Amino acid sequence: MADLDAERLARQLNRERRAREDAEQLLEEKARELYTANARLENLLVDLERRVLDRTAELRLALNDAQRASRVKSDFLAMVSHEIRTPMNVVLGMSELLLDSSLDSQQRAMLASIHDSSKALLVVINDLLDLSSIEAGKLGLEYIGFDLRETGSRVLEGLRHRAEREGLDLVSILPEDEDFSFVGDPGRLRQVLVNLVSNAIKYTEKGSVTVKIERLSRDDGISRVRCSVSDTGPGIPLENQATLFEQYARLEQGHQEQIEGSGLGLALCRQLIDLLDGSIGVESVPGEGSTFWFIVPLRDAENTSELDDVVHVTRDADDVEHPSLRILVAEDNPANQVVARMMLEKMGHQVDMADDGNAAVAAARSVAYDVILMDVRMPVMDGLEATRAIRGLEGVASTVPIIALTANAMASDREKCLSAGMTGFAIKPLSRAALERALAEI
Amino acid sequence: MLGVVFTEFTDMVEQAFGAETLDEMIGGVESRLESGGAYTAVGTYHHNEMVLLVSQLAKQTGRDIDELVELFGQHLFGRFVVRYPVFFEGIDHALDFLETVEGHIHFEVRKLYPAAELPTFVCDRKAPQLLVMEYHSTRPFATLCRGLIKGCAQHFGAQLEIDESPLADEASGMCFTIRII
Repeated sequence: MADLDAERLARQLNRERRAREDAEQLLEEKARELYTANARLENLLVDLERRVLDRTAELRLALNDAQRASRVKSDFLAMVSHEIRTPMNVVLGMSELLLDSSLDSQQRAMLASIHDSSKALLVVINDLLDLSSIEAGKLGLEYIGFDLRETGSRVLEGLRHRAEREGLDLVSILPEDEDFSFVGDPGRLRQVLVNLVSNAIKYTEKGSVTVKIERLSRDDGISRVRCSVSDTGPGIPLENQATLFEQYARLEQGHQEQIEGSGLGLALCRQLIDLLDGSIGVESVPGEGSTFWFIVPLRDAENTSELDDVVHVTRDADDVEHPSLRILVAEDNPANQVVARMMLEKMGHQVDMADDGNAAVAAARSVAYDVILMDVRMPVMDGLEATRAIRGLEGVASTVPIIALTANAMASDREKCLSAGMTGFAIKPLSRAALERALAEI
Repeated sequence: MLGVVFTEFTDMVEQAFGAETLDEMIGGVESRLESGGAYTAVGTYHHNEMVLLVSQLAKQTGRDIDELVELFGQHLFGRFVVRYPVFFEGIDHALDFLETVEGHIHFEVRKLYPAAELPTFVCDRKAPQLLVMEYHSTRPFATLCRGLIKGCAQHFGAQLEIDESPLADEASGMCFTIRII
């Protein structure tokens, strides 16, 4: 019996041993498989890392190229801006001066048409430049005190004549009692409003255009303000409303085809409102009219002193009589010289010319001017350097007000002018009104 | 067939019938077993070895093959509870558990044993107390499956009524209709 047990136990032990050996062999195989799989994974990882590095390097190169291209485009834009505005200056200035001379009615009509078309062209160019600078991220915002009611009124006054000529009523619904002073960029808001109201006038054959400005809410020093422009025009089909704010989108049906426009206006409006952190949209029923609106957040002006500067300047510009001034104009372009001289002399001022910055500094040293109008881009010495040189002169000569004449409307250019010591700006092409306004500021 | 089924089977035979019976069973068919009757839980063996072993055990003990296989199924389920408690976490109903076998448990088994040839279960929970479970396999172990279902009922303390009907067109397939009573 014991022998049998011993034999059975030996057999069992033998089976257990073999099972153990099998298990060990399996373990070894699995371990080898795992090791191989791990090694493969590791190679894959290294390969992937290398590929990521390669790709990153490629992307960096591509990014550099893109940035370089974008810089070149921006520089090109600034140059074109200057190149276009300089002759525009002459066209607008000369036609404005000619309109003041004695002409027969046919000549006057032709000239008025030239003048209007030039102004329209200027609007297109400005829109185009603004759009491009927004896309290049170069459009800076101002942050100054202003009364939105006043901004709205001025837009309406500026366009009232056109509306009347088209036989349209221009109606304004502005808040009356409330304090409507904010800190922000009135220039950009004005630009959008002008665009929307001009469009409304353009597309409405009869009836009215109503501008409404209202405060939606006020919270923690921030007001949400809604401006809307409603017309009694043909309206816009729903399917066209979505693309309206895209570049080059324009209704192309019926008589609207004959209406001129760059198709950039609404695209620019949206870009500007985006930039101001607001929203813009349209509600319209074909046959009944359209309401274009935008809502922007605006910081409430904390005290009235924030407003004083701007408000006074804009008021003065309209109604103050200017004394005769002795003015130096530094400008290299002969045609622009003629325009500036004729405009200023017509306003009763005494004008000297300097062809470049060097000549301007020399003139400022020897004559006590009331104001210097300084072109920014000039040969020999540019306007910025000349301004710094004049500020470095001895005596009263260093304190003369210097107004920059610049074709560059970009905020960064204005910053450069200010830090060089200039006191004001006039954007070229010059108009008589802009010159008067600039001179009133000194 | 996974090695764990074989080691659990030999353990059961030793416990229920004694070491001599186990030795005799293996010795009786040893020459026809590819593994020589030496099993490890982590290995994989041909299912014919299980058929040979059970037939031999039936011959030795005078018991019915189906009865033995069903008994083993019940035993095996109890061992699963001990070895793989994680599969039972959060489940307190026998039919709920049976429903997880295909989706959850077999998925986990394949992670460890990619080569495992597992049967397929198609479950249809007709009512909270009624589950129709189809067993699809190329191997004739529907009886083992019934034993496992009984083991499951035992574990969850449930009284089950199990009806069986062979699946048409499938030699080894079986449809279990399981009702809690």
